[in-house]
Amino acid sequence: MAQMLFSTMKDSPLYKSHPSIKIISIFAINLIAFFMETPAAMFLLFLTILVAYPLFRVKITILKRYWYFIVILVQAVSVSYLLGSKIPPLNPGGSIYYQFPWGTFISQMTIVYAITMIMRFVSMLLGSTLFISTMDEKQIRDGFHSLRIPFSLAFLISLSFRTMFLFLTDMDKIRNAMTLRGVRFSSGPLMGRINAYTQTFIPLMVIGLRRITHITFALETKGFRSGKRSNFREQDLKFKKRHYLIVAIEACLIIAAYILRYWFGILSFPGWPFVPLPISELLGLIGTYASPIFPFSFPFT
Amino acid sequence: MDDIVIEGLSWRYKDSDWILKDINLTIEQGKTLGIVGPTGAGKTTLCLALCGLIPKKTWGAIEGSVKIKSMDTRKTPFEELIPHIGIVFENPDEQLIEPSVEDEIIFPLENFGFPPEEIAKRLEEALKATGLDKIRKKHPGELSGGQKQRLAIACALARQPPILIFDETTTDLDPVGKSEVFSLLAQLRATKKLTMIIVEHNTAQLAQFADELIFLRNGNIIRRGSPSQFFCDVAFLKENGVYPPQVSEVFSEISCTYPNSLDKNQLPVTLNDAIQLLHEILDLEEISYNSVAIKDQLPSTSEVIIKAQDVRFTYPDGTQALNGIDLELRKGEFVAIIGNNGSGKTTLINHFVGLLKPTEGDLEVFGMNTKDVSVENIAQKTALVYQNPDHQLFCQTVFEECAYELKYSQSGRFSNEEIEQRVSEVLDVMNLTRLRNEQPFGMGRGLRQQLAVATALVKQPEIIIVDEPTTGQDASQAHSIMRILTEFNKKGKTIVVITHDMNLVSNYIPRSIVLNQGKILIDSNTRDVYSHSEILKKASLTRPQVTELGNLLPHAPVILRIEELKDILSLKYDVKEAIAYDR
Repeated sequence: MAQMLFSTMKDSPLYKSHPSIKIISIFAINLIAFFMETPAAMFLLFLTILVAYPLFRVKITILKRYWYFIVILVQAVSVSYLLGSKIPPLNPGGSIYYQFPWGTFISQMTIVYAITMIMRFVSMLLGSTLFISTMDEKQIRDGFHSLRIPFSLAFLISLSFRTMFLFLTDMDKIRNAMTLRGVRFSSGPLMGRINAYTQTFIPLMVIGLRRITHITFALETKGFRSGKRSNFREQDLKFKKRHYLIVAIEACLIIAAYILRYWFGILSFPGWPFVPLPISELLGLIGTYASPIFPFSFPFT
Repeated sequence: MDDIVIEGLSWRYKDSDWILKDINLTIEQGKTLGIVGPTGAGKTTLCLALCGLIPKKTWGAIEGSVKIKSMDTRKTPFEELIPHIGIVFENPDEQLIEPSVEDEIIFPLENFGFPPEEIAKRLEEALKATGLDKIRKKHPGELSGGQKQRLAIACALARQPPILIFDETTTDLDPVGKSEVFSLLAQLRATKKLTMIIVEHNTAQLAQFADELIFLRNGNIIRRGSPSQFFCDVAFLKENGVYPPQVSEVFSEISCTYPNSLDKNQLPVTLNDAIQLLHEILDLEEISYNSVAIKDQLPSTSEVIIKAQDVRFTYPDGTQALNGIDLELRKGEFVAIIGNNGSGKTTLINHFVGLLKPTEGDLEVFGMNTKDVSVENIAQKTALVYQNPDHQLFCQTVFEECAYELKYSQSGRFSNEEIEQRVSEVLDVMNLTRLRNEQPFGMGRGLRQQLAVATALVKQPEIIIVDEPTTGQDASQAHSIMRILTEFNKKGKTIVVITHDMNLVSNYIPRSIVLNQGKILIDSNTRDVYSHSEILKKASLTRPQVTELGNLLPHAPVILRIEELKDILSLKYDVKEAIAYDR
């Protein structure tokens, strides 16, 4: 039975692999997907991740519970890219299907772009799920902690997966209870449906706040902030050669994706203006966001 | 020596009235204190004050002092205080955060900085003491309700604090789960000499374990005494929302019949005491049942409104929740669905309202196959009251909450006058009129639960389904809800109730369906169901004290209610009591 976002896939060979490597891999997949924009490369990445599921004995059906949310997000991604793109047709005079008053338009290229972005979003989601579903709460916490994230923060990250599960369970119950009371989520006018969703926030907030209070009390009484923490089963989480090799490969792939996208424009979307992003700017960006989390300072911030 | 000394304690949360008022209390080392009182009396707040979470981790104003092992909770840092106290809260899912039983117990020990060899020793001790050693590798999510609470207790126990607090720890558990937890507490009390404070609505269980009881009402301690003293004033307790153990009530009722054998101020509080006393005052073989009229409702012959045929249901994660359910519910029936935690009760009622559709088999509601109709269609004739009222309340005032469905889902059918009239009637029945302009989320749990029931009653559905109406309620509120449902049932409406409270079932509900592992073990009238103790045991259910006591009487029918046993025992007056007079 699921207790976190997903049931932990203990049969998968990934389950016993180093938790920090799995966390690094999640970042790597997301970063690579973020750098890629060409439809063919994105399709290749998408396909690779799909193949990885049976290969690592992870059931893709674990996402079934979240199908509703995924569909909503996919719809939101596709609509936003369709409404907000201004990619000119590849050939001069190519067809534009619809011109919006605010200057963007729907053309063959914007449709391909929207599909590519959906593939990017789904690849990020499936790639992250592949690794998260093979980690339990302790692995997530140990994985972050061994990457020198403070214990309290690593613990809260792992706890957030648990509370997200409780939050989604509450969301389901509230939706069902409100449906039975005549609130319409899936029929009727659009504004009515939006209004129905806003109504779920009231009970969701109340239940969420009560839960947070209870969990906080439980943690306080378990000495979470006693400041004397010892480690009973210090797992051997030191990196071995193979771990360094995996990190090196992932780093190479990220760098390659970056160079191909921002230096040579090969991974840029065809027809989309090529905007180079110097590496100093990229590292500056990472440093700005990472410095409050990591206890050591980034030299490039 | 006193472990806890409370002097003049008053507390109020930020922007609220005083919740605790001038509490004075001492708890001796090694003693067990039981706290009872109606919902909203301040029991949980007192527990938080006893472990230092109030005032250290909660916003509010405090007067007076709480001393734990001579440490004043206002002056001592929380980190120095908490090693001396363990607390187990109501909901285990909000306390268990690790991926295995072992890790869960280790977590607080690591936090308190115990050395590894000490952790290993304490882990084994806690596992052994709570009987969890065989399931040490399991994920807490895979445990039963009773096992989860035992794990929460193990976590507190492993730290070996001299004081343990249990705040309604067994509320959500089935009767066997409750017994598991209380057996563990009895064992701890016998072996470890811990000071324990237990907040509990189930007075029958509490009476067995507590050395002393206090009655808390509106933040004041209004009564204190040993269990036998405490439960002798049955009328006072019931007036104040607490139902004493059934055996105390029975003997209180018959004490006038046996004035020489029964001291009204020394009533039995446990089943064993009661059995012993019964043997002392009566020759059980001599009892005649001729004039005892036990009437049960005849089986209904009205139209079938819910029909399940070989209904099976499997959740996406592979959990098989229903495993071939066949049943018929008829118009105007009052039915209890009982069974252990995880037996499929909630899944089944979700099928009744169309929220879940069978993966195999068919379920018809008012002749409509739920696979072919929308939830909205079924919802027009049915209402479901959730276990947690917060899942279904979302309006700004009590009135709006009740009026919502009349205003929106069937718009045009009701005029404003009709809505006003219907809502007012229901608020009146539920005793909520004075709160009609209050915000629902600011009310206490008991009142929110009553409001949730009111929202179901107001649309006058054909079927009302109530999931655990007694969770978080005191006995008085639970009985009040059941009386209202009974009245509604008398008007020809069908009522389905899921509950673990076997006393409520025996008092109000004529038909019971026992579920276990997604299958119906027995579906019959409640008296017949209660006669099958083996089946009930299989479903982790236990019979009420009054039924067990009645079972001692040879040739007696199955006793469900206190009045029935009282009638039988009162008839004996002219036999043994007469002999006593002759002597």
